[in-house]
Amino acid sequence: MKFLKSLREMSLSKRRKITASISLPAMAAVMIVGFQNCSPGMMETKGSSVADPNDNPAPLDITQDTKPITIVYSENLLISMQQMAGVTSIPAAKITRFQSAKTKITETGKVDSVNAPMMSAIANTAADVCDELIMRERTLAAGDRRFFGQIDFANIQGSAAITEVAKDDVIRRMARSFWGRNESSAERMLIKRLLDEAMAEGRPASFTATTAATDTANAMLFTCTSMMSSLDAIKM
Amino acid sequence: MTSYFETTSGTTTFIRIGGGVLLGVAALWSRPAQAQAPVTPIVQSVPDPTAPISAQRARAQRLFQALTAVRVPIDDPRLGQMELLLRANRFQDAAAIATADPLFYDVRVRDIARAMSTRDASVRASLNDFVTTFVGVVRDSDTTSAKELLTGNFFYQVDPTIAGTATPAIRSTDNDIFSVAGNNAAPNHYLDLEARGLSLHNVLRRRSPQRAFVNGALADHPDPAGLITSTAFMQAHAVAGTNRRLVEYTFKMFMCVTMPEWADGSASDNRVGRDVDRQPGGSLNTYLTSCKTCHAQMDGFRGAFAHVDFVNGQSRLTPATVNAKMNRNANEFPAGFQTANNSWVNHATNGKNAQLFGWRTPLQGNGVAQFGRAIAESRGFSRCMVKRVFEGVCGRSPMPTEEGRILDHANQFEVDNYHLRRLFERVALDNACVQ
Repeated sequence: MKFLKSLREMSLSKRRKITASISLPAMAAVMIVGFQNCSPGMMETKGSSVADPNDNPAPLDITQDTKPITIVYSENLLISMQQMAGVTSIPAAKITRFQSAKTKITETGKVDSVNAPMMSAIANTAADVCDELIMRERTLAAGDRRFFGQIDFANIQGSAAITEVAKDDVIRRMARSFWGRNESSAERMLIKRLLDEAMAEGRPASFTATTAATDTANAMLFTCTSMMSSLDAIKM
Repeated sequence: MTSYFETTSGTTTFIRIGGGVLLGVAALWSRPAQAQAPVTPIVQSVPDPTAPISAQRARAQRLFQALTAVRVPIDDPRLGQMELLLRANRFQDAAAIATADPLFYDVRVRDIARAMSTRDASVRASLNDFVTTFVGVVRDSDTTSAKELLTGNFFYQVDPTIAGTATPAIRSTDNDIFSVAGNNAAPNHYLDLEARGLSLHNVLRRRSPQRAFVNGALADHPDPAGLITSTAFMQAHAVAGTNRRLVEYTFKMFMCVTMPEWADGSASDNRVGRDVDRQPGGSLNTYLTSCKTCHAQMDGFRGAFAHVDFVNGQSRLTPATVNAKMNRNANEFPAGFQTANNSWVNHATNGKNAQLFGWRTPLQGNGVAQFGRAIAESRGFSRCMVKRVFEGVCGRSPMPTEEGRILDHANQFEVDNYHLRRLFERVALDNACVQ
C-alpha cells in the first residue's frame, strides 16, 4: 500500500509510463487469448468442430506435440500465489479485498474466460501477496531470504543502489518460483528496463532513511507483482 | 486461430510478462474480515537458483499442480521427492506424494465436489455435507469404496474436538449440521468450517448414521443413499417441484449424462405422471416425440423419492405418506400414473442406454437406497467418476476419440475396488493428461 501511496505522489509522466508498461501488455494478452475464438483449452485447431446439440463445448482437436492449458481460477489463485511466494498467512483486510476481487476471476480456469477486469484482479492480488512477502523478508537476515538476499533495504540511495547482479538474482529466483523455469535473457532485460524506467522518473535528489527503504521496497514490489501476475505464473 | 505456445519473440515476451502492477486498486471498505488460518505446508527454505531443472523435476511439478490444483515453486522439496521417484520409474509413488498432500483434498477434490453439489455446478458453492463427504471418502479411500458415495449411511463433519477449540468455535449441534437457517447457502456447521479456513484433510471426521427430519423430528435417516440423501443434494434438488430434478441431477452428477443424452422415445411410459399432458398444444405426436422421451425414464425412477421433500431448510421424510407434490396437477391426464409408494422402475434399458449405463442390478426397487445402489453398481457410474477426475485433473473434457482410454481407466477403477485416490493418481499419470 505504501507503493500505491507513492504512486499517487509521482509525476504524471511517470505514472503514465508505469500505466503503459503494465496495461498495454495486459490488454495485449487479453486480445491474444480472449479474442481468438479459441476452444476452452486454448489449442490450435484444424478446421471447424461441430458442437453437440446439448450446448456442450465442441471437442478439442489436439495438435500433436501441443497440449491444452488452463489457468488458475478464483478458488486456487490466492493459495497458489502464497505457495509460490512462501507467504504463510495473509492479513484479514487483504483477504477481504481478495474475496471482493474473486467475482472478477474465472471460476473455470478456461483461457477464453480471460478478460481485462480479471487480469486487473489477479494483479491486485499479486500485489498484496508480494507486499506480504517483502514485509516478511525485510525482517530476515540476508542469508535467510528466499528472494531478496542481495537487496539492501536500508541503503540510503534507495532503488538506485540495487546492483545489476542483485536484480538478476531476484529475477532468477522469482522466475523459478513463479514460472517454474529460469527466465530467458530477453525476459530479464525487459524486466530490468521496465523497473529502471519506472523507478528512475521523479526520483528525488536524496532520500531519508524511510523514503529510501520505501523506494527499494517499491522496486521489489513492482518486480514481484509483474512476474507473479504474468501468464506463466497463472498457467496450470 | 493462433495457439498459445512457447515463443522467444520480443513482442510475445513483453506480453507474457506484462500485466503487472496496476495503479487503480479498489478502495478498501470495512466489513467483518474473514480470518485465514495458516496454510500448510508452505516451504520457506532458501533454494539454490543455479540448480539445474531436470525433465523429471519439471514433470513432477506438472503432476503435483495437476493433482492439487495449486502452483508451487520448482524448488519445492515435495517436487524433489517426486523427482527421485520418477527417476526410479516409481510413477504411482510419485503421484502419491501429491495425493498425500493436504492441498489435494483442500483444493482439487474440494472443488470437484463443490461443482457437483449444487444446481449451477459452480466451484464457488459453499462448503456443505456433500462436499465434506466426498472429500472424506477420497481421503479414506483405503477403507471406503467410491460406491459408498451413493450407498453409504454416513457423512463427514468437523471433528468435535477441533470444532470446539476453533476460534470462534464451530457450531456443531445436530440442528447446525442438518438444518439450513433462513436464506443461508448451507447449515451453520459448514459455513463456520469455511469461514475458519481449516484444512478439510485434517479436520473431517466420519459420522454415522445420516439424519433427517422424519415426520417432523430429527431422527436417523430411514432410507440413506450417501450423497443423494445429503442435506446439500436435497436442498438443491428436492425443494418444491415434483422430485423429478432429483432423478435428473443424480444422472447428471453420477452418470455424467444430461436429460437429452439419455432421452429415449422407445421406453415404456406406464409410469409417466398425471401432471404430464399427453396432448400438449393438442398434439399427441408432440408428447410421443418430445415429452415421453424424457418422462418415460425419469418418471420411472421418480418413485424412489416419493417420501422425500426439502422444506424450510430441512430434509424431510414421511415414510408412511407419499408427498403431495408427487401427484400434483392430477387433472392434466387423470389416466396417468399415480404415485402410491416409493417403488421405482428402470426404463433406461433400451438401445443406446443399455450400453451407456451398463446396469448390473435388478431393474426395479423401492426407495432411495436401492436407487442409489443401482446407480453405484452400474458401469455408467465408474465411467462418470473417471470422467470427473479427468476433467478436474487434466483441465479438459475427454475427447470422443479418448473413450477407450476412459473405459480402460473405468475397468481398472472397478478392479481396484473403486479406490478414488488411486484413480486420481492413475489419471494424472496418463500421458493424455499430464505429460
